Amino acid sequence: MNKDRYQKHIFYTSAIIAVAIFTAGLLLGWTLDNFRINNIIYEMKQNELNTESYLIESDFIKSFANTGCSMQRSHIDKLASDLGEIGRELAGYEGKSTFKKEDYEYLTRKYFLMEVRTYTLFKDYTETCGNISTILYFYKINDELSIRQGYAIDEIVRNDKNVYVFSFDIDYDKDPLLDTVKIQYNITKAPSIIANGKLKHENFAGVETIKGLLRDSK
Amino acid sequence: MLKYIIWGISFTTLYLSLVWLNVLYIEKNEIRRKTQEQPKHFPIISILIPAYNEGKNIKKTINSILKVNYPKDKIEIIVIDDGSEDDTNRIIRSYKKYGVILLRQKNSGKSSALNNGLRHAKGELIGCVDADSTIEKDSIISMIHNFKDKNVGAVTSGIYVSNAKTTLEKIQRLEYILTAFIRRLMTFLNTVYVTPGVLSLYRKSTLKKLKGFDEGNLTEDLEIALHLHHEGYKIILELDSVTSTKVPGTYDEFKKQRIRWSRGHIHNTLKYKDMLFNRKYGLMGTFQYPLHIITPLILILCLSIIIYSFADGTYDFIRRVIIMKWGFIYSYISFSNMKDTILGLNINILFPLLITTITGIYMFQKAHVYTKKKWKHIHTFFIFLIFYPALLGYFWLISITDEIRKKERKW
Repeated sequence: MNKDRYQKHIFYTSAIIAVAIFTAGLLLGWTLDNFRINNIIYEMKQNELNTESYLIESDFIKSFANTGCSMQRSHIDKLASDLGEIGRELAGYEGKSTFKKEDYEYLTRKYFLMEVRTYTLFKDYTETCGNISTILYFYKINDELSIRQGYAIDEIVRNDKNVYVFSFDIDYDKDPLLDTVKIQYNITKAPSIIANGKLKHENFAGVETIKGLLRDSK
Repeated sequence: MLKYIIWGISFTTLYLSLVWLNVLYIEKNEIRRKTQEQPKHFPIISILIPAYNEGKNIKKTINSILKVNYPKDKIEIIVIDDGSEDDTNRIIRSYKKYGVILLRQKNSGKSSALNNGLRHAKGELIGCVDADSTIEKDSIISMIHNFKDKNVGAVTSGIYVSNAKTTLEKIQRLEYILTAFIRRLMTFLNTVYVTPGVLSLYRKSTLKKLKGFDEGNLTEDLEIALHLHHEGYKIILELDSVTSTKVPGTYDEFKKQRIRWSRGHIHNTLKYKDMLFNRKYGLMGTFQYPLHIITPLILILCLSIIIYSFADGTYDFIRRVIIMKWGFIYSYISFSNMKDTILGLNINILFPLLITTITGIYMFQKAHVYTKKKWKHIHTFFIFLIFYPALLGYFWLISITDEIRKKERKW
């Protein structure tokens, strides 16, 4: 091999191998993304099934029993924790995705819809059984105050197992239902929280402030 | 954005590693091919040792040269005392009986001292040796066969660390082993871009043609090498030629040395900027010269990523502590099962990074094999991989700032 060809050979083969390795990385990423999306879809389906089960259970209790609160509590607990898990996974996975933006947009929309539905179920449950608290949390992505608000809410949830949180991206505009929710509570800025569907707080609220809001809105 | 920066760095380093792996694969039998034949002609070699306040080291250096395996009547040792204020002069004078020539001059810098020595040198070949370095017995004889090729302007040696005691010195030991190996591989592409002062041999006729070393230059060894390439000469690194040098043991000494190197690098890269992307200079122009610009950028980006990650992590930690009080501990604890762990991997970035790290480790392994050095101080290897590039990036940032501000260049 003459010198010129030898040198070209070195640089071209290195470039081809480097591109191949990167392509393999992207392919692996793409495959993993498919697994992630399938995983979330599976969990969403399970959650839908659990919601249906909960609704049937509610109807059943209304028809045949008078005190179903304790029976429903474990069911509603699972709904909330599964939904929270889906939300965490969705946020984590979306940031790592390169090719599946549309799929994640669809899943995000579906997730917000599921949140609104579950929130409605919680509202009904609270009216009947009354021993839980809810927080509607409106945030902005990459917003410093919203990040802080998230930590304060985490701390509330960690200390009080009767508090359930439903969080919504204030800038999400792909579904009219979320606009309806925002109009219902007159939400204009992030972070904002609604305690037990009654009291609204705009801007950052610390742990003690949130505790006060939850107490006052009971 | 961060993802694309990491991709860019990862791709560049992976590509470079693959280039060197390719050269290694093709030239594996040539890397350490020892010439069996004894040279028929022993050219006279003048060894120039510029010394400034080297009283602690000079004895060892001269002794190592006196012991080299080369006809004694064909070797001339010239020590140029560059206005030392310690006992360097007295020590050199004590070697007069061994034929060591002493030249004295007012303190005017290493290049000036070398040029002074060059004017007095009788040799056909000129060897430059730093006063804090030692050379092994066969280091000179193993170099001279390379001068059979008329286009070779300089031959340089493999440099290793003689004082690997502190962590910083141990890290530099690793760096020097890898550097010697990579520069040997560069020989096959004719892209060796520096002829270190520890031990390099030049043809005197070539040095004269180039009008000697650039006086006042912070890195005269880089300047002369680029000058040689500019004039169409080849530079070879001979792995069989082994030399040792003392490296800075403290952070301040290290910082001073690296900033001098980086500033010299910037100055000399600009001085010979016509070589950039110039096909006339072969791969030196189309490959090595662009790397002179890309490498500092990559190092500065590494520094930026580490600073950003650290600052972001610290800020988030403080934020959690303020808002959650002791609850912040729980916010860091999460238990994942295997499925969640795998699905949570950022494989797009991790995979190329993993491959780059593996090729990097492989290159280190090969560097140890070909330089016949043992793996030592494994913990420093991880510091080398993770923090060392950022530290060098920091020095580059200072150097670039100093150059922009036109701060005085000091040795």
